[in-house]
Amino acid sequence: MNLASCLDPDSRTMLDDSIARYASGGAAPSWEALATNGWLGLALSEQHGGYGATIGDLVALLRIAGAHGWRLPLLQCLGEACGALLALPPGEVRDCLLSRVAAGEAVIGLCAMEGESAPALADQEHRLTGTCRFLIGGGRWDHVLVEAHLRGRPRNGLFVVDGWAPQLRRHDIVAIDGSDAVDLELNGVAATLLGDAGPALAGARHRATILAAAETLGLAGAALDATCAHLAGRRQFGQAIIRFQAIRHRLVELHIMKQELQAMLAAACAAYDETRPGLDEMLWRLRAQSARAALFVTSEAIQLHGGMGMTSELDIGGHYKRALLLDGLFGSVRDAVGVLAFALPVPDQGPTA
Amino acid sequence: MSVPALFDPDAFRAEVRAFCARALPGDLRAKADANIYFTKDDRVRWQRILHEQGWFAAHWPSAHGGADWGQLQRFILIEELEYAGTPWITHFGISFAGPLLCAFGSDAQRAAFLPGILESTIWWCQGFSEPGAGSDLAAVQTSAIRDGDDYVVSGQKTWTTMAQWADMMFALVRTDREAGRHDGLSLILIDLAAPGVSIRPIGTIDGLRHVNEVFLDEVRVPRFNLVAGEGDGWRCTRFIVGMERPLVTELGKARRLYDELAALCRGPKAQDAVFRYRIAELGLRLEALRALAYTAAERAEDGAHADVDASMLKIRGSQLQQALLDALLWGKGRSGLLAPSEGGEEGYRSDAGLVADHLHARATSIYGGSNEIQANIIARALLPA
Repeated sequence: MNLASCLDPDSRTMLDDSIARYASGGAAPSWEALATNGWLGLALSEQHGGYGATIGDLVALLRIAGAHGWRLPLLQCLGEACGALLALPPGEVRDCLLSRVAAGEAVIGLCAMEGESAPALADQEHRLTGTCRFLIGGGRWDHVLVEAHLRGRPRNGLFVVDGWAPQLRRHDIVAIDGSDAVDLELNGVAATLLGDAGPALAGARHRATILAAAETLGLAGAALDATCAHLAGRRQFGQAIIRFQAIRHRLVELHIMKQELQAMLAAACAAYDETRPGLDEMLWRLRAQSARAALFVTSEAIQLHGGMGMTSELDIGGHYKRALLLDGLFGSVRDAVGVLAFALPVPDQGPTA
Repeated sequence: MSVPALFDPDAFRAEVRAFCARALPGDLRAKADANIYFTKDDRVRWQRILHEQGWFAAHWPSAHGGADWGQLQRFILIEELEYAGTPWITHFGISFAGPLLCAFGSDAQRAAFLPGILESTIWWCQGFSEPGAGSDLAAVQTSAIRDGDDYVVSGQKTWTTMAQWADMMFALVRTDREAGRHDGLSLILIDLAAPGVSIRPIGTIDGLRHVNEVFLDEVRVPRFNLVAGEGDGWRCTRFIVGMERPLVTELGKARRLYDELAALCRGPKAQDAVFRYRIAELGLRLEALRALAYTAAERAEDGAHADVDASMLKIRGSQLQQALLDALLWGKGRSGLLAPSEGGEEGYRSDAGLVADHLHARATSIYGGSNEIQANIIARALLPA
């Protein structure tokens, strides 16, 4: 894929190759291994100990994660948390957190995506109380970013809490795709104010949208490849069923949808790197296309696999469940298109009757 | 292979926009705004304005009067011309016959035919489809039999767009009945004023006159008018079809229709949440088409043009255009119920042009190789047989 990259072509190819080699190596993917390879800091600046590469380079990692069905909190930490931190003004705590992510020293989560979790409450000493729901990747959260309302402050703030603080109670849950998740109860946990929540949350959403699109591209591609392979091998009525035109046209539709997503993702990466005007709308559209492609491709993949698609033996069901999870966490087609519909022009205010 | 001149896409786009704002005559702009079908005279006028600007044939090789433009620049030009509502360039000459002759014609043929295309004095149409050869184009039966220095051409072409305005037709004919389905085909240039040619309009649901039947009854065509050699017809046809598919993306037209739709949000439909949702969804599909189109155009610019790209654009472009016109008609309420009309009238009846456009757009998924054919092309390229 032609994504903008600030790496020279050779380094880029080496990077892609080494990620692909790691993914097909057979070992269970681990955060530590990604850190050792330096991939967690791919799209972070050199100041923070990162590669200084662009978002397009990180996209390569997420595509692989999607294709191989990794269950690591990449979208949460590298997408949401880093997106939020990068949208905040530079500061000692923020810079330290980014450096710790790049070095693989800390996994950071964000508890404030719209809808699910009401903002926590902060008292005058910045102790937070509230519930953060459904933080994916429950095993290890070294720091958690929390949106909280501070009495007397007009806008909600974004705070960071220590993930191991005793006033933070964890309820382990398992998400639909098999990911570990937690609900966090904050019982007066000490927190540090990083800045206004608004821009930080927008930054979180932007970065997570791009990375989720990349993961979707990976999982949709894997589901489509597996489906083609199945249909080419499966014989009924005396021939491989991939020869039936009805089947072929359905595969073409899936392919086009994937190509649209890939083209939109490439355009969005370029717009993101340059902070172009209209980025927010563009990313809502990317979100909508990701959601549409993820669910359509994976549900069609199940159908085209026939009964085999229902078995836990194949990865197809896992891809479908992951698509459902991404839908719920980052917005469905209806959510994203709804936001876009809201942003359409409204009538000029005439005199009311 | 010529090297396209470097250009700045954003600056060029801005230049085309400014040009359209300045150069489109007022009466044509009024027609565009009312979705009124352009006459041949309208089109000739506009093509000459474009030619004067140096853009009409810029995609041709410089050796033959062009400017060696790459695919991307031509794509941006077409997109912006469509977006501004300017008369649709009649591609049969400038986009198909011209490049075909540049690529496969003889010097004498280029000298004979290219000037008329450049000056918009000679109009062309495309003689591909026949009653028995639509989607299955290689089933063409029209025959061309050698007789001295002529071919004698007999048969029937159909769905021939704008034949009623055309002076010439490039036609796919069978020169060898013994050879294989594809090998027996040749491409020949037929003067429509020749004895034995008769053209009959086909009435269509949109009320517009755009397609025709062309009957060829022992029409004598000089051997000079054979493009490339006997048996090269399929190669020439593939060349033309490859030029055609990206053009039917109609990204600029989609953007224009989308703007028209979004403007309805300021009117009585503003509070209709379902309507707004539908527009936003079409905006999403427009963005997807745009991303797909530019990915393909950039690939083509790099010389990595793929048939699959053109087919995807054809499918998605036609689907979107139909969906946009569907939503527009819905958004117009009862004025969308007018009988289609070419002329349109002042005032509220101008929506009749839109109705015609809506009905006409049903053809976009059929012509230029139906969407099912496009799906077959993509499947053949990507999937095991």
